[in-house]
Amino acid sequence: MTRDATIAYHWRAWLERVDPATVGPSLALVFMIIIFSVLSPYFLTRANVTNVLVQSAPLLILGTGQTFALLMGGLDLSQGSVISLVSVVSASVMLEHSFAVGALAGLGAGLTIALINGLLIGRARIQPFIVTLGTLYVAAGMAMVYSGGTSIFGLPKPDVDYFFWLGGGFVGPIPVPVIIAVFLIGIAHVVLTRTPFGRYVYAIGSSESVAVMSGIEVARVKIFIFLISGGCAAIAGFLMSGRVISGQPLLGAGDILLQSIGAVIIGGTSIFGGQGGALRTVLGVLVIAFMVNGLNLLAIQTFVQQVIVGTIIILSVWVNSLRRTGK
Amino acid sequence: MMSERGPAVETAQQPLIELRGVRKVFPGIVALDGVDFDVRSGEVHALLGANGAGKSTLIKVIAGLYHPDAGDILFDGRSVAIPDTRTARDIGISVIYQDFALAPNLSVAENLFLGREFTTSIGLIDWRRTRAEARRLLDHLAIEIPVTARIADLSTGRRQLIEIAKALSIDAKLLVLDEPTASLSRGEAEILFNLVRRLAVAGAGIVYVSHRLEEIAPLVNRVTVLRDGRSVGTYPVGLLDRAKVVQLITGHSMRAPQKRVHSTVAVGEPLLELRHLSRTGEFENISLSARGGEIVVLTGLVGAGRTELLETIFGARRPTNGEIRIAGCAVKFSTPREAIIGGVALLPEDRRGQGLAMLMSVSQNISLASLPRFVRHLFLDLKRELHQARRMINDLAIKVTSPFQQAALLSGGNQQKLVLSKWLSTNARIFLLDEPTQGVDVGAKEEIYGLIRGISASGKAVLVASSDLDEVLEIADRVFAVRRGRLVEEFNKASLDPARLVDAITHGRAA
Repeated sequence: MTRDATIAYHWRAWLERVDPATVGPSLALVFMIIIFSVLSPYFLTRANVTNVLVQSAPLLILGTGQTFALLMGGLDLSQGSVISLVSVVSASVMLEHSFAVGALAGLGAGLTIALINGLLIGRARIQPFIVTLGTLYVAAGMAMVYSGGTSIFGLPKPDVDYFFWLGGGFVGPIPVPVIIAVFLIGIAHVVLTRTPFGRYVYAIGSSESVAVMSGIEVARVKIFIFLISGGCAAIAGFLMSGRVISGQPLLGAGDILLQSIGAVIIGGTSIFGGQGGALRTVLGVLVIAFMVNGLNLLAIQTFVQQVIVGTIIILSVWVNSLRRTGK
Repeated sequence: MMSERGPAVETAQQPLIELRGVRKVFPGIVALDGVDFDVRSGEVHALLGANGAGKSTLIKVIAGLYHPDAGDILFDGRSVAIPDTRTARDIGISVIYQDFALAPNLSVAENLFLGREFTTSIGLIDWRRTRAEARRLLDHLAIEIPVTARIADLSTGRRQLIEIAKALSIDAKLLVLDEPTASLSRGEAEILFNLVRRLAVAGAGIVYVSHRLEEIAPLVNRVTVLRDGRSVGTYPVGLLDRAKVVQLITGHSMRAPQKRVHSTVAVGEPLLELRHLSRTGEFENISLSARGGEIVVLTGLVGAGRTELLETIFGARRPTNGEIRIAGCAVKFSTPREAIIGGVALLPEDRRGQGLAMLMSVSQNISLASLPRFVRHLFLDLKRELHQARRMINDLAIKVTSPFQQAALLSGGNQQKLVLSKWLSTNARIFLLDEPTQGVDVGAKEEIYGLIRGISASGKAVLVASSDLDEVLEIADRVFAVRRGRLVEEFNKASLDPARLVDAITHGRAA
């Protein structure tokens, strides 16, 4: 092989490893940051960036879990309701007992919903869309019933301090929820890229029957996927409750679920499964978070922001599908 | 009927459709190599040939799905181009494939007029007219099926009749039937035959593709046999007998003994043994064994039950009766995973659906069935995985740009090698290969045969399902003819006679 051919070979091998799906959102992010920092002198200040990161930490955690569900070709619609349920259970148990018991009970409640999702999808083989649409209602309803529809305030000291520290505290200059989010993303990335389980997630997303015929225990993998997705939602819900030091039955009822799915999609993970990754979701979350923040700074109203975010979701999928059919 | 058949053959009537020197080349394979073929009005013309002889390609050329690379098509004496299926339909060609194009959840009437619904003046579907027209159409063809019945509730045979009715409702002058009786009961087949006769009498030209001339002989006027993409002749049906047809299809009546050198590995104890294995509706009472170093081939027509048998051995289906033994021990696999742990590998017929994770890379596909092997301290050892991939790419001469290339981007032959290397990376001792060279070009075929021999020579048992006669002759140490889910005859290499083999798979036990 000549030297040029060798270089060409390595260049091609490298290109095949760098998925072009990440190029779009990366460029969008850079472009956006440039525009906003020109338009608003406050945009690139440390205070603002810290603020964006703290606000986006729960979304990072949610999106990380959601990435697993999308990678296997499914989706988890129950994440928002799990947040609400975890919030009211954690707060009310914490009120009666202690911080630790409250945390265990709250996360346990979230994981129970996640396990139900997993068993129905893995063992009973029902479509993830249907199952999680069902548990979306079930968990949201349970949160309302459990709390009587009202917020739970008045957590005792020192519990309330631990709780707030997790949701809004700092270690040095770095917000605690950001540390937790980065830690979880790191684990998710390693699991997806360096463990057989992660490989099986991609294989199922690529073709479930190929996975079965290759000896993969598809049902078990699916159960774990939804445990991870719901578990991430539970952690996010706990941190969000800590930030408002209360139990809120409608904490996850807003558009955070749609942002979670949107972030994964904007990041370039395929909604059909099999292609994508946790780091791409970080990219998607950052696009959404900085976009919303920048538009806020420019005093553009929320409803216009929604129009813009929605447009970006559609554009990113469209660009990806163009690339796919272009092959 | 008999009296009508004679004159139709002798009249020097102008053909309804005539193909002259039609040639169709796919990458690496010449599917049609200058075929001449014609059908006259009022004639039933049987098109025969082994799998891969070019029948499907020829039909698809007529249907407008494939465009010939050379040659002419004349319809009603005029030279025509058939760029798409719509054009084919417009000039009066209707093709009925084995897999039906009916919407299962819609009614008979809805299906008959799908895409050209009768509407009322305000654009709604005119149900009364739709049903009335459907009823009229079925009555005309003497088909007694309620027009409101859902397609999904009908038997395969009845669906076929609906397909034909649909084809005729668009005034087909030429009707092409692809293996129409493959899934029909005797009674249903009889209805179909009557229908075909009536259509021919009414002046339509009919192409009837089949494996079994014997079954349709009373129906047919002329027969064209394809072999290796060429026509080996068109004959009035009266001039053919069974032996002659088999000889035409195979071209093997005087074939010299196989030149292949026997594998040098000693043939040992049976590694795989099936005892009276049955699965209701799919196969019955299958007993066979395969030793290490031996290539055993199951051959039969499509739908003979081979795929189902292999999948049952692999744990993807459960037998209703009988026993599977591996190296002398009875086993019961309830999932493919258990079978893989037990040392079984299956190269599936459906490569896209079951064989390869198309979105994943070459390297990831190679390790997919043996990932636990590459785990060190809880994590995948990506270097070792890549090393294994490079070794396989090298050993099997898989043409890839890099181990990171997506599996979907490889050619058919290389994809098949990729599936093989996935299984070679496991500790499989028993290789089940279902149509190992399907969709693979000629050059890669030879390579895959070499690989199969290599697997066998390393002491593994190989059980192949193949409907490609040349392939059977090429690789088999022993051959079982399968027909309708039963083993009808066993041949060893010395007794392997192609003509008798074809006879066995098409007609059952040879006379």
